[in-house]
Amino acid sequence: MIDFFAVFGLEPRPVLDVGVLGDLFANKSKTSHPDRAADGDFATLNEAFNTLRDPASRILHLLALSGQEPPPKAASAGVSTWFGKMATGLQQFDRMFQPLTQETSSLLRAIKIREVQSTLADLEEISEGLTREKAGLLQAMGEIDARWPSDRPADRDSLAQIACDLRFLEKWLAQISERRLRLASVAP
Amino acid sequence: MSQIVGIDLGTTNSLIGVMDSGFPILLADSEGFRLTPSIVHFPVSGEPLVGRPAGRMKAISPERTVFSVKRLMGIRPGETGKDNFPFRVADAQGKTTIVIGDQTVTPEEVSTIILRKLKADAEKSLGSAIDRAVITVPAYFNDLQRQATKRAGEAAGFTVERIINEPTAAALAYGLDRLKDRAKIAVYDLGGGTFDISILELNEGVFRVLSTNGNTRLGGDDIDRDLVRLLEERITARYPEIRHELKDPLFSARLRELAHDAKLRLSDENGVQIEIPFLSGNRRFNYLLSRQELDAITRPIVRRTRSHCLRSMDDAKVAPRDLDEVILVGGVTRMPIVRQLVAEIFQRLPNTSQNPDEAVAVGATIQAGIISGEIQSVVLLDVTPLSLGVETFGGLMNVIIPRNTTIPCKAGEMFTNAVAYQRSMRIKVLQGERELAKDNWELGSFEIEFAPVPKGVARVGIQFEIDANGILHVLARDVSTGQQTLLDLASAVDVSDEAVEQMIAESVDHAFEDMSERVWTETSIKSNELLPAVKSALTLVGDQLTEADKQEIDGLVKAVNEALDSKDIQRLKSANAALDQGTQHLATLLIDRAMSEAERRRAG
Repeated sequence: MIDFFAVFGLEPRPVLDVGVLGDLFANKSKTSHPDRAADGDFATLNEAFNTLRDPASRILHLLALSGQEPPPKAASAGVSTWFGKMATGLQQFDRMFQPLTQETSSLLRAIKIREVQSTLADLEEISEGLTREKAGLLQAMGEIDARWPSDRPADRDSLAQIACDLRFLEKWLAQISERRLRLASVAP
Repeated sequence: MSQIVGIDLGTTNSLIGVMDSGFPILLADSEGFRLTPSIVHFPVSGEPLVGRPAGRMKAISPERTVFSVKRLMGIRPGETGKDNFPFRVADAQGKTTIVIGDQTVTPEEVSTIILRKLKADAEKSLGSAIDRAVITVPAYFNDLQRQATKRAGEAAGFTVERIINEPTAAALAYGLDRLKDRAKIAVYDLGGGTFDISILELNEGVFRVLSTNGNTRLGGDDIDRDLVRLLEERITARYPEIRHELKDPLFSARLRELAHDAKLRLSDENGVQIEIPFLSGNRRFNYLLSRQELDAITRPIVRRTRSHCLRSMDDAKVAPRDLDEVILVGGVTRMPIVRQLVAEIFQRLPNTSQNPDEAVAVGATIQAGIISGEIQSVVLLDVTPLSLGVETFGGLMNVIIPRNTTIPCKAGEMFTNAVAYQRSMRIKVLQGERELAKDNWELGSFEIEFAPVPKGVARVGIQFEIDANGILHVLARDVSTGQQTLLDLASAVDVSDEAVEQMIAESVDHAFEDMSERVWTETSIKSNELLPAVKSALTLVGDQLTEADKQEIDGLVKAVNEALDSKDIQRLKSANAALDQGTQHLATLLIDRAMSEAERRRAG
């Protein structure tokens, strides 16, 4: 397995400066992009960059490097509480949004846009909660990073749990963002 | 090695350029212009005319003069949409073709003819043979459209060194003399036929695309089409008796030219006199077209770019304030109304430093210089515009390479046998952003062979690679030997003619069932939805209406109620339409109120 941290000459740890990583990626592209070198392994550099810039996949890669395949985890109790709210919020939005897309009368559209907007407001509230939740996870990650390299199994378990929770949060935030864009595409 | 040229194969115009002592220059065609119209005329006998000479035939022989063929590249029959070409577009064995007399050509072949002319004229002006090219495509072109463009280049005698995205090329043209900069820019590219938005990060010579979005069937042609419709309405209003003559192909072609020229002039003038002296008999048509009228037509078309811009910013995780510049490219961005709408979307004045017609070709030439090694300090990292995936059980799309992944890239996927002793499995490859497989573009399919073993034991690894051209390659990897074989994607268009006929016949059959009854039901449902909507809108924002407005709406409501009792379909339809029309202002007030409410909520 390729050590993606080593590809950039970085020390393997949970937290890194994504701005610095972007600069390293740009710099290394100059010598490995197919336009510059026929034998440069750009696809690997690309994969390394994409893995390390996302906190969840960075953690999973870090754990895998130390030979420990983290067991597949379910979302933590805290994150699980959002599941029901998300499902209801999305369903409400989609149910209101569908008829809007086929409406041709401006007045009926205006009324339906108002209705959809109020369901979006619910989703925005959830989105704020998810963002707070995510900030908490990133902070916890930072605390573990402060005592890295850590041999404590508890730290590794917490990291695996954080990665799993982040994946859920990211997915939900993307789903809400998608609804926001859908409404923006029909509203004037 | 021979020189590499950069080619902008545009919907309306095409250009060709070459590096000359370290600088990109564009070459003039044999008529002396850098912009060669992307028009091909097929005479009854003899060689096709290309460019300006073909353009002169547009109004004389419209059914034999092909233009805007880029809108048909890689497009399957049934996807051609609202385009109304004066030449005949048909489908033959599931492929879109153009019929000229008893001859048929494909959009790809027409592109080849245009590329051949660019090549021949460039060779004449350079005095040497050229056979390598970088060709641009809209960033939002899918795999099929890119492949069609590449084949067109190859058929014209080029080795296609790279297919490059138009907005990215424009970014190169903008950034070449700013190589020390670190900046985030957006390129807004609205051309004759296509719209692209790309967001890039410039970092000391590395041009990294963060996201791209667009619509390959949205552009200046749509404005021309709606402007022609407006002129037709004005003509029939004055001379209702010649309505049928407007459909004459020669007349349509002339009107289209007049509309197009008027649109161009209205970027600088406030009004343009449209004159048709010999309309029919001794009728003459004079009309003063104002910029306001053109703006009213243009606004809804350009507004459609807004959601693409918002999406690309969301994908790149940037807000308008994070951007350093918004660069305008494409001829349509000369229109003041377009600049105004772009300024609204990005909350800043756009940068108009680039020549909107030439920036893409200059960028393609720079990319040619990068590949040939003449330009050393620049690297371009582009992305794949659309997610790539396969169809899973239940008809869903399983994404393997998400949109906006930097290319070239690869991703592996393991397939196992779902049933014991299953020998093979057919996998459909898809491109697009929709959840259901059927809503995405099907690029083709391939077959996986399994050894005869119990369920879940056979495993075949498939590698999906997107190269620097944005074109997909699929490799199967034998797990035991580690050997990779390149798989052919079977085309998705191999639908038999009978199957298509059958589908059409069935849909027509259903269409006539219970026609009148269904129409009445639908129309009255509409009324019953409208009436309470008007009532609730009046309670919400009625106080902002004048007394006269209120009385007018009351009258329209009464008319709908009476029409409902009359059981007359036509009467109800027109009463609905009148109420619809009469409550436009009310709708605007409601939306304004909804927006300010949302604003207040956000402010907390």
